[in-house]
Amino acid sequence: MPDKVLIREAARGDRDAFAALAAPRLDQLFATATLILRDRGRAEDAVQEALVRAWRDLRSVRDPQRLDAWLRRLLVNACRDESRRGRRHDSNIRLLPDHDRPTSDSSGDLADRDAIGRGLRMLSADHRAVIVHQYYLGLSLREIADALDIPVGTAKSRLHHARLALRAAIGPDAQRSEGHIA
Amino acid sequence: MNTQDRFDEQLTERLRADAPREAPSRLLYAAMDRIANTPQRATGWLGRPVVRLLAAAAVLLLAVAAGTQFAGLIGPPTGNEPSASSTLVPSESAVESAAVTPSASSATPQPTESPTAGDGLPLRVVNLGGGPTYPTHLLPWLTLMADGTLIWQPIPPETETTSLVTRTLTTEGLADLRERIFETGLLDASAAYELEPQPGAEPPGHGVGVYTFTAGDGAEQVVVTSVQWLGDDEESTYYQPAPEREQLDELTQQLRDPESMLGADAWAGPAEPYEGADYQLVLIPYRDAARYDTADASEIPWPFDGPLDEFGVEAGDPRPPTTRCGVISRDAASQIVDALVALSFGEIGMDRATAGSLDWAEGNGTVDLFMLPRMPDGFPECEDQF
Repeated sequence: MPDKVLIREAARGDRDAFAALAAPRLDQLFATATLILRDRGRAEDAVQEALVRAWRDLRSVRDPQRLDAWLRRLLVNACRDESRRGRRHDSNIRLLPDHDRPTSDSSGDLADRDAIGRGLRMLSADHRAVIVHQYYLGLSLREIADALDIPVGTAKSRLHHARLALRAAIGPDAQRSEGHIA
Repeated sequence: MNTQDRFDEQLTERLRADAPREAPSRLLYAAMDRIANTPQRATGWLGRPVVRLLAAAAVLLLAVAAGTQFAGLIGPPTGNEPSASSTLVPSESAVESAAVTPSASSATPQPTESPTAGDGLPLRVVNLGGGPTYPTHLLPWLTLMADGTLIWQPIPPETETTSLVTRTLTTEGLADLRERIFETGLLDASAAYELEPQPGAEPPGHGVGVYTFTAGDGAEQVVVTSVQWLGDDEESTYYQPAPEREQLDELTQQLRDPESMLGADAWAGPAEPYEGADYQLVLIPYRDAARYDTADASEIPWPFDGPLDEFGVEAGDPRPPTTRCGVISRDAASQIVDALVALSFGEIGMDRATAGSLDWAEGNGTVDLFMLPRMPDGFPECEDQF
């Protein structure tokens, strides 16, 4: 059944229609939330919250073609909320030196990707969100701006700063493997 | 390839490697379960971009407020630990604040008729947790009274709306149902069945629903809490065997479809929408907050005088925005429902939980409204809204 019909039926209170709308989008929503929050449990909560908000406000969707953009925006907001809620717990977590990390890894690419992974963890959720939308979802700046509910110029600026922050976060690794990612 | 391109490529590779391929199957079920208790909002004002932004902010505020007031009840999962610590036992502070005697201000709701005495409560089932909890989520999944009155929320896919249904059992039907409920012995004494991870297991952290079974009333009352069954796969992979939780979960699912469970001759009359003898009204007023640009609170026929943030009693965390709670008559609730319907709010009715967000010009802000029919035994009380 086309999205247009499902949206109309779901907006009339048909939960089966809403489930049919949500199901094919679930994997990508969950993957996006997991990458932003770096925690599958909290990602589940964020996706769940985004879907509940989508259900509640579905009647505000006028253009079915905008559904995915709207869902992405709800998800980013839910991730923000989840990130804020989790912050008081995170404050008890301290990053420890990674003594186990091999220092003479012959595979520079693998080490660089590990460094990127660690760097991503150190970014704010807002910075991760813009990175994920650009590099994982492959969205245009306009689409990113839409998802993050910010002007295009702000999206561009935020992406720039997120990249700088990521580079700063992986600084020692970047220096170690200079030539690959520096 | 320059270093910039290489960095971009590695970043993409890393994100793809980290991204889960599939969402857990329980995710959609859990969301749909919450949606069953979530009314849809009316069209119109939400369609405007600026207002959507404000609405999102309001939802955040509400979530923060609810999160504060329900601390311990819906605490977000910490690390990889499941939220098994969810409990329905109100904190001392919550009980104290809710027990505050209403002020003598004219905002105090008029007392309403007490529930019918002597009905008694064999069983009430409430499900909370698994995400942000709103005041309307206290609407029980099932209430069984000693006179054979059964009130339940049907299993979501089989209903058009999240409404309550009531039907009266025959004497034999009541006896049959009681036997099915209590034959396991799990509701004979108060207990808390929580998640117990297997040694060394690292379960996924996510919110879980928690059932509260309240059996009997008065000094003999039994309260059993049990974390919702998470599905055979997750349970067997990460958690200790929990036959009690599994049994209670199965019982709850059966109780949400009692007409299939009991058969036609168990009933004394037809099923019909449930309307409360009175209603719990919960207001969360936000003074000096950005408006929703929706209908104003002054368009609602409130059954009290005075400012909204002095209505009833304070429930939960006393820090602003405070939650105000009181009980209003069925007639007063009906007038509020009529007004909301006239203002194009959707999913509104006397037989269900009602939620709405309004502007509040008098307070230069907004107010979130929640209203739910109370059960024949008077549940929920304001002290339950901690």
